[in-house]
Amino acid sequence: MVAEGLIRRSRWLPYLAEPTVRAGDVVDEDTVVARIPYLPGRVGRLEVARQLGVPPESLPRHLLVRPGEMVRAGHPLAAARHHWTWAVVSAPQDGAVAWVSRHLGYVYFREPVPLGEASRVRVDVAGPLGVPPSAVRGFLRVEVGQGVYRGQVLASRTEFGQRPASVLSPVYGRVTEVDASSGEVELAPVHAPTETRAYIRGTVVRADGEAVEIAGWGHVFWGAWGVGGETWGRLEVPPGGPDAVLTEEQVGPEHQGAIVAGAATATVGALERLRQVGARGLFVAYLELEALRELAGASLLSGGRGEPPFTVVLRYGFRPCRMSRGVYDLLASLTGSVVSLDGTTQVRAGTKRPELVAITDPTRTQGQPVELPGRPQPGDRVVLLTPRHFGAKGTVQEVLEGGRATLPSRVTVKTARVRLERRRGAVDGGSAVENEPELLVPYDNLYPEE
Amino acid sequence: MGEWVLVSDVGSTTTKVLAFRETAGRLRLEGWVQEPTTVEAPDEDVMVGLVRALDRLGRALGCTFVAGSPGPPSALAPPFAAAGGCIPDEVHLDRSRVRNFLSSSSAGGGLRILACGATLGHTAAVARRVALGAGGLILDTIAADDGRPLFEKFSLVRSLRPDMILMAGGVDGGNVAFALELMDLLNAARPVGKFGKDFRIPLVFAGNVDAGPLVQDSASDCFMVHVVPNVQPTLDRENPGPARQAIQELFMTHVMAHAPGYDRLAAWVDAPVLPTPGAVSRLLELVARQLRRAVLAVDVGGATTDVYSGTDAGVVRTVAANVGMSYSAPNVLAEVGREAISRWLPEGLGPADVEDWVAAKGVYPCLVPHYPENLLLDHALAREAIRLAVRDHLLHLETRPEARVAARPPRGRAPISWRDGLLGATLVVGSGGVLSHAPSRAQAAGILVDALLPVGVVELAVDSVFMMPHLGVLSQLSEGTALDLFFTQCLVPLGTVIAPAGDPGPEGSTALAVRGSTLPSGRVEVAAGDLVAVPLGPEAVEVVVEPAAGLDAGAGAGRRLAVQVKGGAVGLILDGRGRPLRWPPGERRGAAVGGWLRGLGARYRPE
Repeated sequence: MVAEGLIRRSRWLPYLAEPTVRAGDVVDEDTVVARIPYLPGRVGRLEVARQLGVPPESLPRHLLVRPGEMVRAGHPLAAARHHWTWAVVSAPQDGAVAWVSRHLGYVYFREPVPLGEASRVRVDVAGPLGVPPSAVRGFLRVEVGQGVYRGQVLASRTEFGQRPASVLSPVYGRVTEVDASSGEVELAPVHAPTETRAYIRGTVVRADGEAVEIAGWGHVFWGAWGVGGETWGRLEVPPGGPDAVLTEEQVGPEHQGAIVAGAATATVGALERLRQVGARGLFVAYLELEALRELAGASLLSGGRGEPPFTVVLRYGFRPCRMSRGVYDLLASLTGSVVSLDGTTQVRAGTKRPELVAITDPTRTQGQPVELPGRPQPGDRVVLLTPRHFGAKGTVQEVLEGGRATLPSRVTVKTARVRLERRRGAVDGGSAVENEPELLVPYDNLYPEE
Repeated sequence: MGEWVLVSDVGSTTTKVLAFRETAGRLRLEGWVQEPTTVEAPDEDVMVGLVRALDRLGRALGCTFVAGSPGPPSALAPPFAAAGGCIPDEVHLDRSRVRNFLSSSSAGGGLRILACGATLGHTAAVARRVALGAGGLILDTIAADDGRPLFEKFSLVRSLRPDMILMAGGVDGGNVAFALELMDLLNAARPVGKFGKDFRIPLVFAGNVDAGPLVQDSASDCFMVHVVPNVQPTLDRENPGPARQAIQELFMTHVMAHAPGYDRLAAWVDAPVLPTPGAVSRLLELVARQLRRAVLAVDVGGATTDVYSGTDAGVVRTVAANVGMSYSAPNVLAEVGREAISRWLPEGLGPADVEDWVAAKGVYPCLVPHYPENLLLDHALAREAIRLAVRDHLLHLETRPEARVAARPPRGRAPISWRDGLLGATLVVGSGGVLSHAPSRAQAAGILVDALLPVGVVELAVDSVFMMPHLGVLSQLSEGTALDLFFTQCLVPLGTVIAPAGDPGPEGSTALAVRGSTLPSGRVEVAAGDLVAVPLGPEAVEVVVEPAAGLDAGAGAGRRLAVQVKGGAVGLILDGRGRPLRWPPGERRGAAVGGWLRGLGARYRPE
């Protein structure tokens, strides 16, 4: 499926994030469009109503700040007048007002951790436990390399007759070092990237505290299945047409940072070579399951948690078929331009299909938005999904309600009569298609072509 | 007063309307139609699909069920089709024709849950399990320590449009900070449910008891917080029941009720709209009470598989949330492995074909078996899906004493063998597209026998057009009518399976013989390892079962059993394979499976 039109993509922002672009700016794929100047730290609660001496339900009337507002230490948060005096509650430290209590009279306060300071956190263990630094290892409840959550016990000491003592992790992260000379444990927090990028080339049409939205005119090539996140790069279309199989020999240093698209498939050797040269993405008609397993290191379909080294989008699936001629030609005409690729696939919830986006006019922000094509109708070009004919292309002649035609499986469903296209390549359709000008196909086994 | 009784089930994907009319003092099914449910855009009104279905059904039966339309009956559908969620106010049921209109619904479109927890590897995993166990679809799992950048989490929460959020974490008396951090994230992200900004998303908090009040206190107006007991009150104990129950109740009372158009649907019906599974449970309870025997029902869907065990003491339902024939097909493969599915395939098909078919379904969930080999693969998948779902059901009963009580067989019946005996059920009803719409009833029977491996003497049936929810709703008006329709028009008896437990003996020996005056030649012998069906009508007849020395049909090893059996669309099914099932070794397995299918008359290839 391919469509040309107006393409919009939104980047939602956490509070305190700052858009780094303004409406009207023209941005590239890797332009930073928003940034958070902090790492999200601990959320605490300040007993503001109690400190003010007011009923909890009246707290909103006494507030001097709003949720989402950043304040400095000592900044007044709320105030209440008692006869001739004012009671004031101030921010105990720099931070953000996260939320105001509904019933209990609290102000929930997010402690921001400035960038850089939290790159490594060193936690004193020896001191609180009252043990020599060299003895710290004996009291640890974690080991180097272990993931820890905020509040998790890092070390504890419980001895008869002694007050129990423990040291808790102040961050979510990983234990990176135990320093026997200082008696400290070093932790690497898990939060890292604090910027978000445009993902597509285009014009910023919205930039406020909630979201940055980018729009541009171009083509969306939807895939059936993908894996890997958003990426972008120079489009490289291998020669050989829509039947071509990308081989190891065809992959070279010029594919570093590229999105390779248009081939029918790629060999295992080509996938490995793409990984070696640092390609960013692959968009092909199909990949065999075994090749995908080799690439990702696990079976992704059956619950595996493998992650391929670059984003992969399959236009049709896992059985041999060729790329559509129209898609190949269109991709070839875009060779050298920068395209965006997202492998995120949610077949069930939300039905998000993976995509390759090619923006041709980043300044155009008006016009018909691109939309996923609807269900095939007579006259529409389709691809057959039945395994025996997978990838064969044709045109719907007639749609028949369930019971009006009998399939070889004798399943009674809505069907379509499809006139099949003659083909030249060797990779798709299966032999049954060769001799059949028309085929009765389950309606649900059709996939709209461009 | 009209003569028609209309009953609809507004499901998550299809809206099915059945029309009944009284003939000779009894209600009879006269016709049915189904249309896509229109809960999602562009229509966003369940009434659109319902009115389309009513209109089409009326035209098929030569009358109109909907009045006040802008045009003549034949023109009714196009305006609605184009209206994009606009059923004019003047459109109403034509009560001069419709005596009663009733409905069940699960039109929330599935229960989409965002699971949250303190740690990804622990409490979020528990939350995920609970949500799945409650029949939910997990959109994603977020945790304070999942390592994802804040931007990504925000986009995730904003884009997922969950029906519900389940938050867990911390043992009782432990950490509360995670709850505040997650609430901060959720408050700031302000997720929008699929029913729009006015819909407050239910947030079930099932974590540290100390954090509950703080979650209630800190949640923004986007959320409707329900605090339930901790799913993990201590490190060594899980307590999923209350959270699971809260999720299911909230889905029925809150999420489903917010399906657009639901209020109008509620105004049209003559009795309360029942949740679809509730309607099925209601019917099965009546059936079990009427029959005075235990009934097991399996409804194999695309995404989930429901299992009901009913006795006169009540019905227990479980939902295998990630077990199904379309969206969940890859999960079934992941759970059981490709060899487990391929063992049900005859010669010529193997594990690679299984993986291929399931992979295709993972990408295109609505893929239909086009050729016989596709159908064989689908039916092999169904066998394992049902096995998984029933296994979960039995495990649920083992861990829930109260459910065991509800599922106990009627007084005086044989004790239940929890693992092997299908809860003592002597009637099994299969439902769902793969069973109800199998091209031949023998194929459906084969799926049920292989998946459940019943022991002893068990009747099999399928729901003809999946009308159990409709009859459950109808029972609100008349239990007797619902039962009458169930036995006469809903239930399609497949036959009785006689499956002795134990070792059937060496190959070529006779595993069992059955004598009866209505059987061919008065006596049928079944060889060890064979599965055969002999024609038998649906009337009850008495037969004598003579098992081999190592087999027990219910009277003891090698002992004769005189029993009443009923045939059906398939007949009397004689299973000489023994229990547990022994698989022929190596290459002979495929041939044996082919033999079983032929023995049942389950032909897959065209004549």
